Amino acid sequence: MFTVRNSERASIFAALCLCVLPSVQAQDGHDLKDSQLRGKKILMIVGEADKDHPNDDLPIKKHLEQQGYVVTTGAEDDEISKVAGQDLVLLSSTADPRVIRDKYADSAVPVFTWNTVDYPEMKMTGPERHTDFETLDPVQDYARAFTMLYGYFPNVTNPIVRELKIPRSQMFGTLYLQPQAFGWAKPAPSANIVVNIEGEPTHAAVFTYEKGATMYGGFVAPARRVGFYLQDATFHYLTDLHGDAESDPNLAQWWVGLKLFDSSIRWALSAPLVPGPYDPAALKSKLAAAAKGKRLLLVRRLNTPEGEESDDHIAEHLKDLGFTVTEADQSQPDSMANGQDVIVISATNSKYKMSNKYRDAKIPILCLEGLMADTLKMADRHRYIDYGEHGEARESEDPPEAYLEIVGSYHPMAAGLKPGYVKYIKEADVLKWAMPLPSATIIATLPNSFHERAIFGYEKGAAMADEYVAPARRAMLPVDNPAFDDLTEQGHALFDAAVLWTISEPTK
Amino acid sequence: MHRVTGGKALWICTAVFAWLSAHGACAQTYKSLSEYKLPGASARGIAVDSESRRLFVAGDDGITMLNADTGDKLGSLPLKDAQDVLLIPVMNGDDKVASTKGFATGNGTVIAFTLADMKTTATEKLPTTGASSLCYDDDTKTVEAVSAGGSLASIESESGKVIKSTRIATGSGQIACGTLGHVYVADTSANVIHVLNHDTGKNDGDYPIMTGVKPSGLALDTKGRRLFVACENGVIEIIDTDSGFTFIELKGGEGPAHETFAWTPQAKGQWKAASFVAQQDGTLTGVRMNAFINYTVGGQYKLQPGLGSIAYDAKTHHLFITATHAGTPVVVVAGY
Repeated sequence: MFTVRNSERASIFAALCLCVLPSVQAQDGHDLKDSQLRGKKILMIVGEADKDHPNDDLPIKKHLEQQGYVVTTGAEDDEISKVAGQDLVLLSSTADPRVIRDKYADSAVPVFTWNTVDYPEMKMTGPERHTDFETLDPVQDYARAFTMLYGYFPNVTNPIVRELKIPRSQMFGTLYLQPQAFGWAKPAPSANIVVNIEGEPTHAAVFTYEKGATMYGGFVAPARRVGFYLQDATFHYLTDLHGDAESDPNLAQWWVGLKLFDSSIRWALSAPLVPGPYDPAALKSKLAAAAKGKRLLLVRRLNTPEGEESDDHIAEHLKDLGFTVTEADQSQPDSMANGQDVIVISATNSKYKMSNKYRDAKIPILCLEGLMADTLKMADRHRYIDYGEHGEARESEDPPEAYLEIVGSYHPMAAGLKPGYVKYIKEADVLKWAMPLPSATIIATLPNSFHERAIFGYEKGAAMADEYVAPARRAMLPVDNPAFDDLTEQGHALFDAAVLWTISEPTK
Repeated sequence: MHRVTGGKALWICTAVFAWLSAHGACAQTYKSLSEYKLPGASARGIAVDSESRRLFVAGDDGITMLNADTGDKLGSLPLKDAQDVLLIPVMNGDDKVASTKGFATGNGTVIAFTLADMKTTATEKLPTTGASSLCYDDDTKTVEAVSAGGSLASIESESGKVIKSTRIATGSGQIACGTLGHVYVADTSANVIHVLNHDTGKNDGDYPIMTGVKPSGLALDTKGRRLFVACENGVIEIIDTDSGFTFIELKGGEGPAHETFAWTPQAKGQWKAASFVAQQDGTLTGVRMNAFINYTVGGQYKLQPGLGSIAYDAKTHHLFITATHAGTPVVVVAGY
């Protein structure tokens, strides 16, 4: 056994990270080739066949087998030990959720489920039917059922959607022209919503949890999880194109129900993102390597009565990292960003004086002011609903806060921190939050405030508020006026991780 | 125990009748009304001109013209091994009037003929021999001839001349002319529907069959762009032709099938539209349109085994179906 000093470890880790980074990015969905997927073992848990109520379990099994998967069927009351040796578990809606219960929640094998009623037991949603999840029946809910014919891709950079080659966020046909049984869910903040429906951004028809993501009740996903809108006998309604329609790119982007199913299966079977360990020094080295030669515009309020020193220290830190830092006052035109590689917007800026500056910048932006979430199209416009703050006297009902809850520990912006609470600033103070759209990736929320997302990011190309498409990466990290100097070690790591993700190459 | 008075009973009966009528529960039950005997040993394609009350049947004996109301033979046209017959529709404004021209196939040829005197006006050779079928493209005013031997020929309906032909993989099932130059061909052996394009002479792609096996019957609703595919294993699939997607599967009869599509096939107040499927096992299935997205089996009727081609008479709402009775080819007149 050999040992390495901290500095050596940091260097080695930084070097490793630089080598590994591209492959980690490629792993976000479908790094497995067809040949690698063939032979993957899938355990499909189904209910008893009922001749009076035919279901699609057999066609699904056949469809998967045609793609080279080895599918074994299991019953709802089978022992969990049957999962051993499998690469993926499928939970059909035909299996009785009261019998399955939480049997597969702890499974370290990925689970792909269309057993909507079992979502809560899998910790994929909260427990309330009609609030946290819902199953719709075209007979019982005829008029409403029509709305579920149209799904919406909120984020075309999502690895599952990316495989479908959808060029922009848009509607697609889910089931066919007549309404069919359907399930939706309102997943936890760390989930990625692949498709939403009914005009409700949080009504997910397809959603995923990365391994390590925080699910409901603080439960950490032991492996990838996928929720899908199918019900007992609707698989054969998944849209698909044949004939000359296949060559029509618009139709091809619209009729992708079956491809979406296949792509989601592939994502579930692919290797999960593996976060590096929490190591602030290594992270700083990695950031320094990435910052070298990059030009950074720090937009701040010069000569501010509050936060001047903090902004100075932010600038110094960024310069130390190797950025060539230009400082711009909030009143200067956004042409200041010309020739720059990245913009950091300080919380010392006045929102109303900044107006919409830099919103359309084609370079990445890291915003430290949560209240600017709407002007930067990171959230909708209702103050205290779409964005808000903790601890601001007379402006917030919520008390000051020092902690964040990491919910996306798998993500590079989490800096390797474990899921759960992390002390972010030394003393409880003002912390801003926003409610970004489902296309954002959520890294941290405020404690006990599920919908108040503190750290999040939009990938380049993701749909933001008002269907605005992110021209480059956009990230939010709340660092209120004087707070940079109050950041804890973990807080500084999160700052560096946010900067690093913001300047890194977007997912292609 | 409650007693129902006479007045109440009458009211209830009236209400039930009204409800049943409104919901179409009084849909007609189809049965064999009569049979018309045909010459020769077999009957294949069939077409009816409702306006002039004439029925045309292709068979091994050529083309036979019958009185559609009585079955009396009105004339014939020799054509060796005739396979299919087609009448060119004629419109006067929105009203259909009597056709004057027909086309028929047989022995690797297509002929054009006049209905009034059953005279051949043009004869064209198809690129391939074997069974062949006809459909009419109203947009291009062309007759499309598909040979099971592997060819597609476009014939100008006015002149009766082939204006384009190509060798291309086809099938032995029914065909239907659609929009945008498409000709749908049921390929029983490949288990697909070919989408041929008579403008380009190419295959624009195939529609796969879902759970059906051996698609043979084909009918098209050109307004709703729905293709009704009857398979020999008893599955009827309905395909949206804009996407090639099967969105409904229904249960039909068994064996080789033939279809025809009709609007308001039972007059107003009954079915909006239907595709009628006649199958070898003697089953006549009415696929009822409830809406453009909703189709159900409106009724299934056992007529007689060996049902073949089918045509719809818009005047009487009858169906004419070729069959064999005691070894003799006949036309079964089905109605309610």
